[in-house]
Amino acid sequence: MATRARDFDELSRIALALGFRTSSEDYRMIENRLEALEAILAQLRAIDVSAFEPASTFSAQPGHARTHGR
Amino acid sequence: MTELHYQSIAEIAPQIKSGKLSPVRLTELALERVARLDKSLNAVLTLLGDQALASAHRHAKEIQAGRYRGGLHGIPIGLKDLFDVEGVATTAGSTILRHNIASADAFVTRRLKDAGAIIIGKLNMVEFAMGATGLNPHYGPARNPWDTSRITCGSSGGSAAAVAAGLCFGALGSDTGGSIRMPAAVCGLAGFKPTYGVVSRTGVLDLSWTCDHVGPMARTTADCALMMNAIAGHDPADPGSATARPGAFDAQLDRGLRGVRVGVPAHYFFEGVDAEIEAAVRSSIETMRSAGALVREVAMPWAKLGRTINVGVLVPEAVAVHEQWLKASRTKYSAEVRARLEAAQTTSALDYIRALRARRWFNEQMEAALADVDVLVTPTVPVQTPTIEECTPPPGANEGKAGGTLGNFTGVFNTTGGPSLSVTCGYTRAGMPIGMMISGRAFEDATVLRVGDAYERAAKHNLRHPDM
Repeated sequence: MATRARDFDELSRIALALGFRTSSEDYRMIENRLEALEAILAQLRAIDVSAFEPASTFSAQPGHARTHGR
Repeated sequence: MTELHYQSIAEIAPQIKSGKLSPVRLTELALERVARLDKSLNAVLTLLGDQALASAHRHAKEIQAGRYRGGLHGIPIGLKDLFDVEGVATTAGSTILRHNIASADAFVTRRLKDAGAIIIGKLNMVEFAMGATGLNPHYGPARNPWDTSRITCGSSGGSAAAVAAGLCFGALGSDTGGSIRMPAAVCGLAGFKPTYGVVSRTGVLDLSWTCDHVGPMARTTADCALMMNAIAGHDPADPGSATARPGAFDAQLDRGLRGVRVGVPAHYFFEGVDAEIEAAVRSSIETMRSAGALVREVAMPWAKLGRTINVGVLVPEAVAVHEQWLKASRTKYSAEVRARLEAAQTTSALDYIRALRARRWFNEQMEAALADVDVLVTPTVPVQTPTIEECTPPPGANEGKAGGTLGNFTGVFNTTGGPSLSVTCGYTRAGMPIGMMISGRAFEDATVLRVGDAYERAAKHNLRHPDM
């Protein structure tokens, strides 16, 4: 769904033709978010994490909370 | 004498215990204030008036019969609308879940009910808790009781507005990047994010499994400790639930600040901070020093990456939570939240694992930094509270001209998972509350609450209330 292309109006026309309700404004907003996200990921890539396993440092281990009603 | 609707839970509880004050009168007062004030605040999404009154009558009889349960008995409490209450919709501020009726209480809802609290309603929040401003395009923004043209921050904005305006005496929020502490800061409350795993998330809508925390918002730190005593505890149904419990959360209250080692970061947390906010926090640190705290500077040049890691973990977890809804109900999201999630779908597994590994790296740095101090003291929010208009995105834009930096400091402690509290430490020239954040080592929640309580007693900034 996300795209790097700049021609949002054209993308929107193609999306609509394919049955997706994605407006040119949607594409612009996704593009803005992608730029912000890529800046964050670039900072993360610059950290040397080779010595670290991806576990929590304390006893409460992360997991999925169960929810009711869904 | 503080008006009844602005009294703390700790002030009210003895009146209820002695029979001087009835839970029915207290609940009627809360509901009367909701009816009169919520048109201008938009804090309440679902009012549970009849259920609350019925509950108040039951508890009044129980107390009269000598079966007083403790400090929360008969106290009206609100819940952010992502906590399940049996038989009531949990919307999470979305239209997708508008008719999502909970079949059971959340673990924490049950704990509050068991403690005798009266649930008066489900409170406004950012759509799916994905945002820091408190705005909601589906249900309208929660408004700040100190100035209704300004934001409450978020995502637990309705919870903060309701407590600050005296619509209830405490509320629960959730905090994945600061969603308890930011609203508490700008609405003049104490808001506590406990250590990860100390409070169960069963029956609470997820945003990010490894960053989500449940916690209280109240008028005082002591009230937060009282609520923590009720809601904390191991829950086998929550895979992230800690088996260790940090002990009574009010165990260290009243011990004061003498000998407490307060760390003041030399990096990041005072950079780019509004001058009035920085002055208020630094003045408060001097107040703590005068009360006997041992204040020292702490070097943490790596701290700027704390929020980055928080977002790096949160974003792919959030998109995983929403995967099915994005397929089935894509058009029911607001454009802003949909764009966030669709952009986040591009995050690779490698990026997510890198963020998790970076979290380990970061937490080792933080653990070393906290080895020689008991708490870190920082601003909660770096900027003055913007207006709703300033935070409202123009068509086709993701954000308004303000609000992008609100969570820069709070998110650091979602990365560490350690306890973090915001307390009121002053007011701007415009009359808006300023928040100071007190953060500590994992499972040393009682120490953080001790420092917040002692500071509040020394400075008394939390005794001021909105004029409504």
